[in-house]
Amino acid sequence: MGLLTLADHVHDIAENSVKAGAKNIVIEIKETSDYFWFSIEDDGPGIKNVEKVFDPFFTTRSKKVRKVGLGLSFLKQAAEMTDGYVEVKSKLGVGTKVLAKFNKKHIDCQPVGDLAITFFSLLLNQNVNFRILRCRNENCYEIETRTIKEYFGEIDSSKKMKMLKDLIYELEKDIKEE
Amino acid sequence: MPKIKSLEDLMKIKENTLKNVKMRELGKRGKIIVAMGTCGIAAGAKETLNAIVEALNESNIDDIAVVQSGCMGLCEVEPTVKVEIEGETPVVYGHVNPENAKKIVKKHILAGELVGELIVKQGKE
Repeated sequence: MGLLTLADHVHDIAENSVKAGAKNIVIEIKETSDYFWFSIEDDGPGIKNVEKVFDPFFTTRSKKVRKVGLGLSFLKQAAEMTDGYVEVKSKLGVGTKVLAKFNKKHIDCQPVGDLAITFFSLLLNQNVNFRILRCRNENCYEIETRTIKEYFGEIDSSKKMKMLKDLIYELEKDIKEE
Repeated sequence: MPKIKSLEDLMKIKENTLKNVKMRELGKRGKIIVAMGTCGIAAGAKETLNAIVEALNESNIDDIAVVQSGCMGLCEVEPTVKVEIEGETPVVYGHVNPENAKKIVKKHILAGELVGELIVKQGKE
């Protein structure tokens, strides 16, 4: 079993940034009927052996928990199967940026999946400031942790979580319908 | 739900909805931790998280925090969630699909009963 949708890949790469200790993460997604492109940039510690990140047996985390790091390998395989690409740029002490492009019309392209629930899950990591810019053709929306906190305060109850989730679904629905 | 077009719309919804929200600043009774490693995401942990939020909201439970963690090292039984209630032994549940997530909220969180068939680990690390 691997990551089944493009939303899963976005989620997984952004979770890497969270676990690496990034305080600010910017996610940009541009989608048309032809392609799905995303960029995830963080201000985490950076990756020492960036040339090894696509090796499934390379991980920066404790070997006591696990000995593999499959996320970027899955992403590379899934993107390249569509004649797309993955790029990882990292600088120690500055941060990491992952870019990926999928050609949606390729027969092997995975479905986009549920981006709303991906954004919702990520935004629940309230110690990280996320800025998410999501575009579908010419229609875009932007959502940021700081703005959410300004209006909701801490997302510390199930009702607030539900409201945030509904808001993201509405935003996502709007750019799909128009 | 009406369409939200601006932050002003959002503010109105906030005002209307938050009237009933318990704005407790005190600590929570416990927390549900959803493992969101690559293995968890691949197995559907997002849907599990969603089901937990829905179930807590439906039951008006405000004293349980929902947080996420990395891989707990139990990839073979993902999606996994750990339930930590103050004064009780932490419990890790496996194969927590949305249906099982709702069962955990109903039985463990609301009724205080363990969901025996889903337990994969009990106690601290």
